[in-house]
Amino acid sequence: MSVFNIAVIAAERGGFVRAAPLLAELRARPECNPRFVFAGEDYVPWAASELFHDLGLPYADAVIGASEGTRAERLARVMTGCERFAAARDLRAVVLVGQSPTMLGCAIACARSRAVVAHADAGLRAPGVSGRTGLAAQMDRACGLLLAASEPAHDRLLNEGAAEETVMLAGTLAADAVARWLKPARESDAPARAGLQRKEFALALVESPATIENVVNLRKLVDVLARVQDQVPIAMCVHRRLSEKLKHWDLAQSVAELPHVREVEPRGYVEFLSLLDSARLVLTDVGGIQDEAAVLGVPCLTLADATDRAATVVCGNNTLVGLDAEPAGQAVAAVMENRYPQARRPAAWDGRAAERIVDALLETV
Amino acid sequence: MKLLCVAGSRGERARLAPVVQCLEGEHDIVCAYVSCAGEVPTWDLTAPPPPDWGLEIEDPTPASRVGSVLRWSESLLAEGRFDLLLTCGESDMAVGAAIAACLAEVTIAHLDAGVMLDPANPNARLLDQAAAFLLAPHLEAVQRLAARGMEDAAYLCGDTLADSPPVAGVASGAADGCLCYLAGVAVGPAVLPAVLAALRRLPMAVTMPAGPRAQALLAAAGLPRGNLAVVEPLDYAPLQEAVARAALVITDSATLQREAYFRGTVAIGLAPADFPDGERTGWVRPVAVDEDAIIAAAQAPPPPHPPEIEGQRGAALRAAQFLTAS
Repeated sequence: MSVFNIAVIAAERGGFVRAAPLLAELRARPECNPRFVFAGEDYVPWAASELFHDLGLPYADAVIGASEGTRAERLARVMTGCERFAAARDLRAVVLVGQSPTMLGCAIACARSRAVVAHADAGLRAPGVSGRTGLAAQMDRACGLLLAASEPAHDRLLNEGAAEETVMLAGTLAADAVARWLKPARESDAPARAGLQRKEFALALVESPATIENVVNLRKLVDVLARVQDQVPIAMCVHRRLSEKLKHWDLAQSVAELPHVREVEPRGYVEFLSLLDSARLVLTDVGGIQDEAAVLGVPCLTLADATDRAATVVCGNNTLVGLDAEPAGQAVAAVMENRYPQARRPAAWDGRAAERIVDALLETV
Repeated sequence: MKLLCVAGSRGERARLAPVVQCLEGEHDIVCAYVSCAGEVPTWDLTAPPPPDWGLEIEDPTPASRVGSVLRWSESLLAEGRFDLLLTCGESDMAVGAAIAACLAEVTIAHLDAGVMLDPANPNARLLDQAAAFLLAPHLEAVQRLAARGMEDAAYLCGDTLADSPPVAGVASGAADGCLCYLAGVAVGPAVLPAVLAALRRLPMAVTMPAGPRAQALLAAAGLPRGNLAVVEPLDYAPLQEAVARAALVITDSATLQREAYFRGTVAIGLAPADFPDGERTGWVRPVAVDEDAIIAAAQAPPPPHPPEIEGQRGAALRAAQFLTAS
């Protein structure tokens, strides 16, 4: 029996969450020799993190990310590192999890190796944000196997002219991650430890640079929080970058003065999933969280005017409210008064995406 | 408009040059040319003047070439406040510049959009995807772009190689001998013997311009010998003269096949050129890298009609006007 070297490359938190079930599935197949490639910045803190521990991520076979230099210098180093690794390990397939300039660099670097280059988040496009010329579309052009996470993504790839035999509806790996870690998450009961009552709080997580790096938008975010906390207590995940920006623009005090906003710092994936699963609703601009909320059936209000996770909107779980207190307040009222529409889970979000992806890879290599 | 033109291969420079010439005067243009170590820089394109910036890279692998040009382009873009990156073809150098432009949020125009020489090489698809303005050389390229949902951005400007400077001093009927240029696209050591065997059977002198690496390969195969002569690489103008004077061009270079057509010389293509006009009229004859196939193509009757060349800088002017209007 032939054994194939298959690399899974991820560069940021959401990518690591989705890469973990895929690596687990690859480990379970005797014909696969999985390799985990870390393409993010600062490997050591990540490797020591609760997140990597929870996800059972192995030590990286290669660390190709760079944390110093300009964006182009870092990307150039990622590309050469990726190309070297693909050649040295005789890779037969590479699965890219996530979409970013780093992932585009990896796609280009591997495209002319003998490895099949697959994209596990293919077809995601945010209208008006990434568009036709955006990095996500370029990445898909550089990949030979397009693993669409949802039906809208699958249809979009075909409409963009991708060859039918290169496109597959795999489902989202976020559903696999939820399915794999939901039991320990429920056992951990993180909300109780944070003093929160199950289904009686809203979870808020905001990461988008468009919100955090822009003082006008950050002020709007504080207004949204002020409005929503009058309707339901908020558990707000405050990370270093958000905290710095709130302080920088003298908004930290405004948030601290909101009586029903409580800061939480979930350390690992299990703790975060426990909070998300227990929340009445989630306020976010993070694509991966929109997916996870749809899998769990937790109503999601996206604090942006557009999302690349169209499936979560189509299925009825996700409402785009922008950074505007009024529509956010109305949507929260609908949830609290049980008027929020009942969502159905998107097709192929059954927790078996990794299985389908590995089957497809083994058929292709 | 401030415009950065980045070109990698000789063909990219030759195709961009007429467009740059048409844009000059009206716009602020910076030309940056990249050449690989071992390649003879061909920067004497007669027009436009030599590049403002030149970079010679020694990187042996595609990713390292993309990386080098990416870093270099980032610094050029940071210095210049450019409105547009004009790039061409499908080289690693063009991809490096395009990624830098994406990171810097500079709009990209791609000349020779929709051309597909090697389906296994993602560069062409990637550059088309990254570009807001797609300047296509022929209808088939436009149709290819439309099939990918890019018809709104595509514009049929024609082949700007047709607008290259004319070759002076080549009398009509001066056709003589065969010019064989092997760029290494399709002709590697494994198939070189088949090509050389075919060249030896031609009833004419064969001139083979070759750089240091190709010279070593040809010397190992026993050249020069009989009707086969190896010469130093030719710069742009002498190469165009040689193409115009030759009775036959045999090459795996897509650009040289197209140049032969525009110079009125039959070309035997050892690698795809994606050049429908040339193939339809019989001036460009794509063949497999096989001794008998090459001989059969060389012995085929001459094309019944002269090449269909618009000239008058039509393609370059249309490309320049489209970019200016956009």
